[in-house]
Amino acid sequence: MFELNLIKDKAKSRQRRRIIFLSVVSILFLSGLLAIVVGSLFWRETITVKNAQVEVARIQGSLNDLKTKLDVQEPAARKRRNALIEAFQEDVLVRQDRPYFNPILEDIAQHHPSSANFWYNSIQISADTQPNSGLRGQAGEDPYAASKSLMGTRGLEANGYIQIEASDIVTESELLQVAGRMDGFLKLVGKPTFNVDVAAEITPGGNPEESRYVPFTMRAAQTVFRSEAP
Amino acid sequence: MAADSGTGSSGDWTAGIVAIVAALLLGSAIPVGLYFGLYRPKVAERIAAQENKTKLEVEMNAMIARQEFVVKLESEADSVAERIEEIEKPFALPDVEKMDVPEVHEALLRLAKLHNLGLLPERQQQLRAEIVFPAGQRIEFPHGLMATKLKIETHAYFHDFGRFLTAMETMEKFVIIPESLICTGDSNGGSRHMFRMNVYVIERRDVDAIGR
Repeated sequence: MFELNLIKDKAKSRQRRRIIFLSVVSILFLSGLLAIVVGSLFWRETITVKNAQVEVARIQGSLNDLKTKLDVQEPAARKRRNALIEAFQEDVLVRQDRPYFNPILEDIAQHHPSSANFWYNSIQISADTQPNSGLRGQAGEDPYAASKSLMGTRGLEANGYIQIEASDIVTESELLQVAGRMDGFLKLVGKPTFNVDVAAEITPGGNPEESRYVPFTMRAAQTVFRSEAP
Repeated sequence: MAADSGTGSSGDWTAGIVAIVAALLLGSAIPVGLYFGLYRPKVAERIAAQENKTKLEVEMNAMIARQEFVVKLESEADSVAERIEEIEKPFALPDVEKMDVPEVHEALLRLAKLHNLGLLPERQQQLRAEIVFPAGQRIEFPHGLMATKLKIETHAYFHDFGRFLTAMETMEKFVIIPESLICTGDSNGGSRHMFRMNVYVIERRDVDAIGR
């Protein structure tokens, strides 16, 4: 009985060892499997991270290149576009607003009151003749004063004689009324100022009833006159 | 015996259970350690990299939009440049060194001849005297436009000069802006007067150089 028990115990012991051994081996096997699974997951993540980092580096590189390029290109493109727009606007304004002299000469030739002829010794049309003009004051500082003056207003100054044939125009006031009827000038260069020198009038035939010449000086206000002027 | 056997049996199992528990602890420690020690930080790293990538892609999209804007700016600039070239067709090509605009100079001389304009009496004896000549001056407009000054000095009938002036101011090929005019009547009562005029000829720009 003792031997049998011993045999039985040995068998149990073997079975127990087998169970323990198998359990340990299974546990280790499972843990190994788990470790392999975790390892493969880790490896997969490593690859993903590596790819992502490569991709990030590539995008970062492209981004930096593009940014560097655009940091130069954008201000340059903006500057050029704005400069071109300003240049275009300037061209348009120069073409549109440039002053013309032919209307004023035409007026000088054609428009005068029916009761008098105007004989001119001198006619001057000049830019920026007003002594208090802002442009003249800035001429030393403003590098574009000349071009602004060119596109700006003009003054007219003329002198000569008013030939009076109607005997009823005698006084200075009446002469100024004659001069004031020069409608063309009123439209082109604003209301001109006439000075007549009655004392210096000339009577060529000796008879003031027939014809006499009264010296005058005319100054027109600084006014812009352009192509659209009538 | 039973007690012995029980004790022996329990003692045998104890060692086994300890071994199993130890194996379990040790065995689970490896994957758990790998999981928390390697896998989780790597996942965090991957998430960070992906977030970084997403952020960069957003930045890249903004940068692409910026690039499209630059292309739009350039295209607008090209369009305005074409319009400038069109509007500046009647502007003259200058000879900067001589401060002259040869084309306009020649055209005005032809026009003066056509309208019977003569030289001023005091210049009739001068060699190579011309009615139209450069004044040696150029002026600049605020946005880069330039103009060259020419002088016109002539002895002519008022109406001839008037027609010359009208023709000059309405020339289609050039833009000429009169600056000043001094007409001095013939002191002897004749019909031919002296006209001294300054004009500016607007110059064509180098469109490619604008804003560069």
